Amino acid sequence: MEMKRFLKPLTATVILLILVQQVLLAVAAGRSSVYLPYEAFFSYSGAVLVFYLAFAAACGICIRSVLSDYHGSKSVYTLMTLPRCRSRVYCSKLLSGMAVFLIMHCAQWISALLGYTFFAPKIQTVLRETGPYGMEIQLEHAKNGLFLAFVRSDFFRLLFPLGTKSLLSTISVFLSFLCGLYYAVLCERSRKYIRILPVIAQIGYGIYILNYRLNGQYSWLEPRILSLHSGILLIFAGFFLWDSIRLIRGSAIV
Amino acid sequence: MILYSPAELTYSTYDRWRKEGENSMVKLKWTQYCLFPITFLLCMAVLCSVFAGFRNAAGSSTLSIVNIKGDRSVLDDIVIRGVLQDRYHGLEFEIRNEKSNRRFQFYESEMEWLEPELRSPNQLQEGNIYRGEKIYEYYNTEYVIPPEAKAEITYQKSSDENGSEIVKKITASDRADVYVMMNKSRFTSNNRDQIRFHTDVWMQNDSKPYKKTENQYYNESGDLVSTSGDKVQVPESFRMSGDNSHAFVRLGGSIYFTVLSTPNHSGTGGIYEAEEFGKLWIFLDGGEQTQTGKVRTVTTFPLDNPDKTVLGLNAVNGKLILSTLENGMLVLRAYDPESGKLLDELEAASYDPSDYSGDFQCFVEGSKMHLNIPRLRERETGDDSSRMATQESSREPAQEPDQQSTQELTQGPAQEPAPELTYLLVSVAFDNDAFSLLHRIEGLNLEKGELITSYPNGMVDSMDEAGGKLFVFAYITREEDRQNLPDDSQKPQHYLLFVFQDGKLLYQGEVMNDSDEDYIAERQGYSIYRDLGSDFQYRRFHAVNVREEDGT
Repeated sequence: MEMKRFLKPLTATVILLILVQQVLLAVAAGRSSVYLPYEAFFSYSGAVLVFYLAFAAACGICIRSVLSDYHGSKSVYTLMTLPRCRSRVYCSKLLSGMAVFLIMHCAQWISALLGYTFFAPKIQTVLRETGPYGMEIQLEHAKNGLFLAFVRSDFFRLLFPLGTKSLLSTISVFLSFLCGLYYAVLCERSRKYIRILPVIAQIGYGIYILNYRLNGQYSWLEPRILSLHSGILLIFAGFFLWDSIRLIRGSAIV
Repeated sequence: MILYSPAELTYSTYDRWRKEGENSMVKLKWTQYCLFPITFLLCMAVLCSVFAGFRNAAGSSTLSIVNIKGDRSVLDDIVIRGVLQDRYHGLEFEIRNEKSNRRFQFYESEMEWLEPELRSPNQLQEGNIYRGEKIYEYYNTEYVIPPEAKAEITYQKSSDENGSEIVKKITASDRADVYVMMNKSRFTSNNRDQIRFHTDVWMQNDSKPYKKTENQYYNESGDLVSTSGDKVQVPESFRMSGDNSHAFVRLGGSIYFTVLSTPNHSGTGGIYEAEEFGKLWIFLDGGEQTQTGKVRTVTTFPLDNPDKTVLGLNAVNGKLILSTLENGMLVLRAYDPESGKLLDELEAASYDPSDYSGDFQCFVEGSKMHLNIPRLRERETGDDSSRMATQESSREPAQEPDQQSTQELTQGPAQEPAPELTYLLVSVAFDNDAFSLLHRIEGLNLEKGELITSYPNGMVDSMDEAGGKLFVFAYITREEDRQNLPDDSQKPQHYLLFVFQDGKLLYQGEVMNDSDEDYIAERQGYSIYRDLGSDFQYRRFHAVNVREEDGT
């Protein structure tokens, strides 16, 4: 039921994500006259910004899934009086939030694949001099170009890490962010504003980890133990989960 | 309205009401119940298949050996291993003649893409720097004019735009002593510990070519406000050119170093162990003759022989190996690092010191050491030996006399042919405190138009020995696909394999791979005069070694 409520805005977000990215890639390919690796082309087209907007929209869907119960039919009061365990209300919202981001994640992958299929042949051309006044266009299709793009692009390395530690880090950053998002909304609804501070701390910590992930290949940063930081983020997520359930069970949110 | 008596309001009544309430709710379709799990499973299936597809795609790149000349059967019973990597990922491979196994590695930090080089400690040095796990050690030398030197001091006065006086003090000395600095610091830290050691090596020349300049700044009152100075300048032809990577080596957790010297150096050379590092501020507070830290002398040797050049220090099988050029020969000496005792000595090959270009390579695997020492010789006509790419680009074709005079008027005198660069390849084993010469090869037998690329410094990429054969790997470019590109790194490069035995080339092949695609963008950026930046990644081979099938 929770997912059914936001199927339409989610579908619209996903379709717009794919469509707008393809349009931007098409425009960039039309203007391009040089050979570009796909990861540089994807970044240069502005498609990454569209993902950030879609991410913000998904966050909005999650926030709205909580706040909409307080307006209109004010169903939050009904939900709180149902003869059921109240943590199920929270878990259903959390799981639907996970599904929203998971769908968006898959949509981004589909968009990247479509972009490579349609536009890689266009951007991977080389102009060769054939004489004093002659030039010919040759295709220099990179073998394994999509794979190399996902390995070398900072954006794709965050979203689709191919290493175990990076995958665990991405999952932990995402889980802690999502749990923190719902926790912040519940804290706001229960007017316990001071409890939003751990959420701010988690966001700052997540940015610190993501920054290391983006720059870890360079020598000026001391190596970090990613597994340890992932564990800390999961502890954050666990705390947000536990305190959210406490708030709901204690009827603090009504 | 139904009224219930208190006796009827039991738990079972409440339970019955609850069930009636649930039954009266709108029944959902089964698809709506299953919407979340279906969506979740579908997304996970897509992502898992993507993940698996990429891991599979990692192994589908080109990697095979193509014959150029010779008998390919020399590769039977041989395994070639290494990593083809860039900053973000690596492909570990094993090539067994026709077949290749690959394993994809996703790098998450700098230490992971440095790791292949960590396997061979001697290959971890980049120029003056040794990079360990969390620290790096940096070696350098400095020349200092000693108090006992015969020096001439001249002063030049000038004024700046404010009218303050600047006095330039130039000290010209007939002697400059060699000081060695070993610095140690952690990554990302500005705190450095240092050993500053006054060796017993100096340079002496009656023409006083060793100059130190110091500027003294005076204010309007004539008071000395500050001083600034340069280091002692030594003419380039006098000192050892090239980097200092062969001046020090790590063995058993300690750093051992020597002084690379030319026939212009005098005194007593030696091998030293860095025992204790001092604080950098001790030197900064003291004068240029301050020493810090503690050094143990392992052994010493005279530098009186005017024909002696100390090439470098390496470690093989737990012993220190000193490479020198003496009396027209390449001489290797092995020392015990504890006692400093000379264990063995080998005259490996004849080598004219005037041919030495200033740098050489050393590859150590277990008890074997392989040296590549370039020779720079004046070019003989019709010789098609290997040449450096940078020298090739500076050559001009031969001109007719009248064209030559025209060229001199408009462009200056025609350049002489660049010196010819050939390679001396020597492979030795050191076992049971004794050397044995395994291979001695002159040149790499390149075809006309083939050049070894200048990264790094026109040297080969790797050398190893297995099954009684010497394997040499090198990046080369071919004349037909150079495309007028100025930088060697932009030119299409081929990774060649040479196999030698008994001084002869048995086999030459090319390791086919996709890494050249990484340079296409930069090449095109040059050809259309656009700077596309340097954010692209380049794959190269690292830590390539050769083993027999049984592991030896």
